[in-house]
Amino acid sequence: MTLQVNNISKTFYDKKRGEFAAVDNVSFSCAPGEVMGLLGPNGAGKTTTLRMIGTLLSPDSGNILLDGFDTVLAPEAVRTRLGFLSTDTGLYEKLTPREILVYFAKLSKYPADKIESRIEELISFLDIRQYADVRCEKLSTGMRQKVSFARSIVHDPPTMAFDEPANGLDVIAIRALHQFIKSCKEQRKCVVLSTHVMSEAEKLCDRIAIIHKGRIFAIGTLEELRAKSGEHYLEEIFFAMVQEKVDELL
Amino acid sequence: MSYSDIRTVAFKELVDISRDKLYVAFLLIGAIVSYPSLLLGAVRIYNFHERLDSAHVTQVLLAGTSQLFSDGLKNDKSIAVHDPETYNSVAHAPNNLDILIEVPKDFDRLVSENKQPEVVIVYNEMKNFFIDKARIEAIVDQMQQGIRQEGLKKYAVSDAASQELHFDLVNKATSQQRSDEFLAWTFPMTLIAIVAIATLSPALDLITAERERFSLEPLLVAAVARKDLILGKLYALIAIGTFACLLTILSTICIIDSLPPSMRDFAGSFILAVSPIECACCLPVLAPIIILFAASSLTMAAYARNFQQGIAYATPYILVALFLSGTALIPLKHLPFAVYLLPVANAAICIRAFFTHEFNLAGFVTTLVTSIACAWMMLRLAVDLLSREETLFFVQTAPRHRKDFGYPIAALFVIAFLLMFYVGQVSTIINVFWGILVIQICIVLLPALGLLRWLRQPFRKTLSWNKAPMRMLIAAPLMAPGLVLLGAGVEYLQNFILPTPDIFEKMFTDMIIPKNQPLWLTLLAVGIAPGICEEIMFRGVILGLLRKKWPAMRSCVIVAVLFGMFHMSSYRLVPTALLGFILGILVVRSKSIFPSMLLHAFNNGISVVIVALSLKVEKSPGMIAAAIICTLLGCWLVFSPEKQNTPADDNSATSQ
Repeated sequence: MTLQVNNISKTFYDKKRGEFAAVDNVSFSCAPGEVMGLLGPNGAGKTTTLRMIGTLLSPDSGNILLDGFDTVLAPEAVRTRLGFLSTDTGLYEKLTPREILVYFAKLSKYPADKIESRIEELISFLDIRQYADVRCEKLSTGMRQKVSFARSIVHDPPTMAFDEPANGLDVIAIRALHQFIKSCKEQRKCVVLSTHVMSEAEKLCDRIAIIHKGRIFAIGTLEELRAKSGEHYLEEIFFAMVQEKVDELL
Repeated sequence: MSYSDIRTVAFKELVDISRDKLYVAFLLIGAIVSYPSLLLGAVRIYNFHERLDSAHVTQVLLAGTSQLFSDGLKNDKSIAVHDPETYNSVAHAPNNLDILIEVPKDFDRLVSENKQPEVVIVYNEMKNFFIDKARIEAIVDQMQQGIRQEGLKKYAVSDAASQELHFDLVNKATSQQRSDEFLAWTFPMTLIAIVAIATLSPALDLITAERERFSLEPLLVAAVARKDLILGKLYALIAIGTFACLLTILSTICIIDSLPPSMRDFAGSFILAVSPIECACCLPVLAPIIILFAASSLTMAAYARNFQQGIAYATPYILVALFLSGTALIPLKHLPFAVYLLPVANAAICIRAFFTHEFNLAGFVTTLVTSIACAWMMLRLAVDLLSREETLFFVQTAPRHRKDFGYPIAALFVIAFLLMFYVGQVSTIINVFWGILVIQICIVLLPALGLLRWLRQPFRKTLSWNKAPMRMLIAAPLMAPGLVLLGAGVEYLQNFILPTPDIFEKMFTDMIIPKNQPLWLTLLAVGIAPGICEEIMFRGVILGLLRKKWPAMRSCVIVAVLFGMFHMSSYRLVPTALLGFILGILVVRSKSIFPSMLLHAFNNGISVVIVALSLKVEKSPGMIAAAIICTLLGCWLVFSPEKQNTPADDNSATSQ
């Protein structure tokens, strides 16, 4: 069960910039039990890449294969195998976490007879039993984040895509998030994590792709990137890799 | 399509909506209170006027001497007549006077001499103006009728007209008729307004608000088809619309049944002429409007980027719905059957017809089919909008990579068609030559080029503005005579099914060959201008944009149909569509728009020459044979296998 991203590109248009490549010829792969990090500043093309993996956008060129299914040709097969999470995803205020989980489990074609036990398992795993039957409008930010985690994995997908999941979270929620990502890795899920937080990438990712202005500048394990750049810390590695472009910007 | 997914989505949406206490309260209050309040208000107003009418005595001051007036007024017990001399002495306050009638001194004599003396009637508009005015007008009418009959008697002529008219009886509505009319007018409009409002708010919540609070993204990543998502939301809205209608109907029946007899006596039996069972039967009549409004609301919600934008769209939407539902105010006998094809208006008419017992099954079936067809189109639009990257993430696809131009092409065609219908017809009536040129340049050419500019598509590539191979440029004029023959042949065959009226042919000939105009001007307006302008619009812009998504043959067929429809005549639809298809194929084969421009111009030019010179082509086998040979030669040049271009050739052609 792997994710293959092959030479994908996506071009947008706006009045100020004209046509511009949000993602330019990006390729990477992710194997089961691996956390693949997309590290780059805001506007680097991480979210666009993940949205293409999530079948929300279609690439102008190249293709994305998830377990052999193409995101453009077989989007529903891809969505069945994918869990998608970003910080700003909202919940249904008038429903309870349990109702939301049942709803998404049914939509994701999870076997009907196993839905109840699966939800119980998630409620225990994420420690949300106390709030499982309270409407979401009454939940705290941290609790909402946990419900979002549960929703993204309720159908037990083999691949997870996390789009800047730590944005706006407090320390406790971030800790819960990191534990959650580690648990996904332990469950042999294939995880793609987009982030601009260097420490998060260092801590969680098995391999890191440094992405800037839509292009991947370097890809490899932390050790490989250290060897390639001659720097030790990821922040230094990042700037060394994109120095040329940063100079242009300054 | 997965029914379990649709059911899951619909159930979740209903649960979600039912927990919104504010919305549920508004829905219940609106549905239960709105129409019964209107009904009670109407009953109260009728009651008030009935009581006022029976209790009120109109105080009339008659100035001047007229036995006719005096007799007429005194016959009516609800009128008190005073004369100026006694009026003040009986201590009437001046403001108690309702009407002042001033007649000339010799009024009766002038009338007997068949003259028309002037009478001044002044109403007190601050008091019971309508009642007083109606009473006086009735008396004056009777007086005039009496005077007329007296005059006719004098000449021994019977008054046939006045005998037939029966002023008093025919126009006077009974209480029952009055209340039935009120129900038939107001009930359809109320139901339509209730359905529109009841479905709009949850629709905005189901899509627009979901987008705004970022819960749409995870939903779109779930393994459910977009169409099923939309259908699930649609079913929820249909359930809400049906519930609102049921509540409105039931509450109306309840309020009518509970009206006290005293109110009914005065107001005239406000009895809704349906029993509870019939009431249940009227739901299918409401079905088209519920489906249509649910789908329209969803589409609008899918288009709105945020809740505020959705609310901004809602106002004109509700106004248009109410305006169309106003058709129910027009009696059915004054409406053509075609009105059943007009969405919303047809549903309003069906609801009215159901309550007035004028129900027309054919009309209802037409309404149902039209509404479902419209709803289906709306749903397709909603599904497209839901999947569209632009509306999902506020990004704009790069023009270079954009492939789907269906909506811009449809908009261009509709705008050009409407302009052609209104401006085009007026301009050709004013001046044929300049009119046609205005149509070709301002309605056909400029909007098409404007669209291309707005879409930021490359002009040359889209228009196939390439240097054409010489053999194509030779083939085009060679094919023209045969195409004229082909068009004539198709028209001849079409005449067996759809005969072209002579008047239409004459009008068409007069239009393209106006009197007192040199032939070269006609050729310029009817041949060359369409050859350039229509080709740029249809075979250039529309075909070029369609081919980015569809295969060449399918694109040519679509363009041909649009080209045929654009000529706005069912008699010319098939021949022009056939011509359009051949012109499209020529562009595809030659990879250039110039041969089709030549062929179009020659085709029109030859037709003009034949009509202008009154040539009897059908009686000249030589001309027919020559035309066929030329066309075959032209076809051979177009369709014969071409030599394989090297990549270098292709590049050079494109770069041009």
